[in-house]
Amino acid sequence: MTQPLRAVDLLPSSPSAPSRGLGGLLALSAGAERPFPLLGVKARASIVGPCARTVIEQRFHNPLTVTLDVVHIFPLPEDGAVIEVELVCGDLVVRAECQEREQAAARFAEAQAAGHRAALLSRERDDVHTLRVTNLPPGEEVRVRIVVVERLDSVDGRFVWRLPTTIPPRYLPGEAVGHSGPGVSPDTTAVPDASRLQPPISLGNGAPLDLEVTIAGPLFALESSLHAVSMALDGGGARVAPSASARCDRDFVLHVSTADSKALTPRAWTDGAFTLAVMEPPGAALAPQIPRDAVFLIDISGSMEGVKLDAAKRAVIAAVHGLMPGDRFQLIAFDDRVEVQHRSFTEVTDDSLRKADAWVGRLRARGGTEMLPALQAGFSLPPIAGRLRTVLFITDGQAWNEGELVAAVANRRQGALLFTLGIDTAAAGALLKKLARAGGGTCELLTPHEDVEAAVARLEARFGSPLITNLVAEGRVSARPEPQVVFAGRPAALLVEGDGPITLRGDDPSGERRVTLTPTRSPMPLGALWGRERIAALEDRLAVRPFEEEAILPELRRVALAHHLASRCTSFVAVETGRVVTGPKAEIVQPQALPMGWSEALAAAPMPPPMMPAPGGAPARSQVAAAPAMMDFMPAEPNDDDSVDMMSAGLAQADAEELAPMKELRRAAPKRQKSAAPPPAPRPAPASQMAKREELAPAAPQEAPDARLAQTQGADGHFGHDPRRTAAALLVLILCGSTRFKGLRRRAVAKAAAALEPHRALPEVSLALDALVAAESGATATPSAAWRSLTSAGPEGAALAGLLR
Amino acid sequence: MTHPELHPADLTLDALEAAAARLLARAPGALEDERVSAAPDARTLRYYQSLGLMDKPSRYDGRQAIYGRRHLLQAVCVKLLQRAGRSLQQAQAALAGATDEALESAVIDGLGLESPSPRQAPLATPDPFAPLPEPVARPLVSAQLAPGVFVMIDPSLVSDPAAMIRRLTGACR
Repeated sequence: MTQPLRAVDLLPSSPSAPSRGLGGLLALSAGAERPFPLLGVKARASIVGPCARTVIEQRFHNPLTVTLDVVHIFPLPEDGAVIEVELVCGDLVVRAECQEREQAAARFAEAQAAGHRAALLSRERDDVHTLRVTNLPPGEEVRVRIVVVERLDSVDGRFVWRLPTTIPPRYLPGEAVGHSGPGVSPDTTAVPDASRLQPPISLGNGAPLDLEVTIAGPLFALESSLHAVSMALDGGGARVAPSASARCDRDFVLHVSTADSKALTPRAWTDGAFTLAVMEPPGAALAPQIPRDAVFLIDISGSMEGVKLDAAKRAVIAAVHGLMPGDRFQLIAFDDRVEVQHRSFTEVTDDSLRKADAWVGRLRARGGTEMLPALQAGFSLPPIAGRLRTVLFITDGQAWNEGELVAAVANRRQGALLFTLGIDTAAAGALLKKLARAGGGTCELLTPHEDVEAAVARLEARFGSPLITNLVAEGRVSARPEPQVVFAGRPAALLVEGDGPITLRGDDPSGERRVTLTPTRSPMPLGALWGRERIAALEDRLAVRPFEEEAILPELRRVALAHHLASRCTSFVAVETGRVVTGPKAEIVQPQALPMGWSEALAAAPMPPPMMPAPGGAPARSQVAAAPAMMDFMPAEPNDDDSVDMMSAGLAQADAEELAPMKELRRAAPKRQKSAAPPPAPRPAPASQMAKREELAPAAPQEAPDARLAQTQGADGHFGHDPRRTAAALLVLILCGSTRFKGLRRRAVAKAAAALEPHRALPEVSLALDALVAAESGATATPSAAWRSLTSAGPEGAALAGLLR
Repeated sequence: MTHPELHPADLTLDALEAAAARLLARAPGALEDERVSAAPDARTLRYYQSLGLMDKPSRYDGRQAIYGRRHLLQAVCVKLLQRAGRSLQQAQAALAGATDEALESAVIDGLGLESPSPRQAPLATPDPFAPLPEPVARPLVSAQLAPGVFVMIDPSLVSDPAAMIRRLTGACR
């Protein structure tokens, strides 16, 4: 029964040491994507009242055969305070200590030399942080947990929670002078710390992002503008997570309406030692109308290419059309050159509006983002007594020279108010918020697919004079060396040391207002937020008055150490001494993915040449021949991430008035859903009992009848110079929820009403004006049969007919 | 102990471009993909830097960035990988954390440079585009013990495979 013997060739099942030579590198680059050290990011956020606490866990792994040091330059929410850092090695958790920056760095260097595993977290900018992990043995893993708390801004009745996940390549002005940090850009004359800020660009996908947000308390409405999300209602609150697998390649933006986001009555919270008071000015009174000189500064640098520039153009056109009779405007576009439509202000006339539309329509994206000369140009005209000067800065904000920009705004604005409108999928919120603070205005961040016109309409409401000035709280206020100014739709928040009743005092057009609040208990560490805002105020002061450094920095350090916060003077360091790792070492600086919608070509150089391939497109053949090296910049493969196509806008028409009760949570269909794309996979239900699960796709904007009207209104407030058409338009605006005092189109209403007043003798005009007065007294607009007579009045009448149907 | 051309003096960006071009001119084989240029120009080198394919400069001489051996090795390696059909994305993954020694051995190998040191044997096959060296195959002995039951025996470790098979066949019964 003996079987014949056969010899077979069998390959050894496991390879020995990696082969050397080019073959070794080829082997490493073959087949599946070789992982970088960052395997994934897990984030768990909870939103309670006006605050959010987020735990971010980064998982690192050593893919090499030698011991690894990792440098990870990554973003955190710009208003956040890092209050805790932990290094997790297997079952071992080492809590990091908050120390002076130099001391922490020395401790880390010591651990690095001794072969101990260690982590060092430093804050470079409000949004940019550096995490260093050292002595990661081959094939092993560590995790670093970072706890961030932040106070959420309420914008038009909704909290905005934004988790940035990647740092896009930002424009770096100045001449290179050195390269001290781990980033890929040199330090320059304009940005002396630039080498610490810019991570390498990853040509692969961003690291996987596992995200869940818990919202406490009754939830009225919720929208995510860059991700499709799924939601589970859970005992009065809700849990939200991306419904498809997410990656670190764009911000996660959540707009949340809760009882606390609509701070109709002033409220206060305390953690026992510190108190947060929030108050929104009553929207019922339109601020006194001061004639306005409006400057519009439009970023047309290469990074704005595509949807961002389209959105910026729509924003400018909407804002110009929102100007009142008697207002004047100036249009300025910039990249590395500044282009001015007119050297001085232009009156608002039908002709100037038409020319403005044409001028904006012709703008094309091109060079580098030189913001300094642009801001200087925006503030160059001397102020005029009795006229309000506003500058609206529309940009993606992707530049590094924060310090000189903030100083320029503070030193040059001469009473003008600077509003910043950031448009991007990875917003540069840190810079734009700083500029708005220095400029006395507000910052709005939009994603390119949101309803820009609606956002501008809300922003216009703030363009009027501030509703409350000189707002102060009695007590040790965290930040404001100057009393606060409160704009419509943007409640003021004051953090004060102490836990007793808090008194707010401010001036509104009718005189002094004073309100005393008794705080309720908050689980959030308000002291950390107090410290964070105090530090932000000190940093703002430092940017404007660098010569006061010797006084400011020690105070900044003291506050940061007292509240255990990462700052420019303090870092977190954790060392695990139980194990000594030896052997040869390597360092990898973790690359970061380009944000969705950015093309690699744009990242290649500060000033992209015109022949760069457009996002997602291939260059024409002749361009390849002209610039062979350019092919290096072509993405290897089209991005197969179909979620991009499933994006559509958030915001939609969600005016504050529209907040639906819970059962009517909006469930808009994705706007441009790819037909081949599978529906978002449902998330497995969490273990706890869920009352209800909802799939929420980002809401699609729908052309509202009043949106079109706002663009066709003449400079004199009339529509087609015809009182009947204007009366019909006014009724449409009223039916869409606007009056002179509230709603998105309050300016259009005010202009139309003023234009109609001389024509009151016409019965149809007086009908419309009476309907306006009725709506303003709180009555619901109820169309009467007489309205029908206006449906024949031009396109406005047709719009009215559509609504009356 | 290694090729002198791989140990350049301080290089400006332009000098780095020239040094890389000189080395890459010796690469064997023709450029198959016409979209890949033979050598990186200064602009491309800056792009490599923004991708982390090339390290930050060794130092600055006033406002002049100074590069050295590692940068030259990295720049040449990227091109060698591209010539072998790898994308920049693959190069980015392969070169992350690569030691100077690994880079140098890849460049010597890829360019077919002769090692000047007689003590050092060539590190790999001279032809960089040849398939990866196959691991040495070992003859094994296999046998069927019962219908559907097979064993494999390494004769270098088992002195008498036939006897072993007999024993195992007996045990199977």
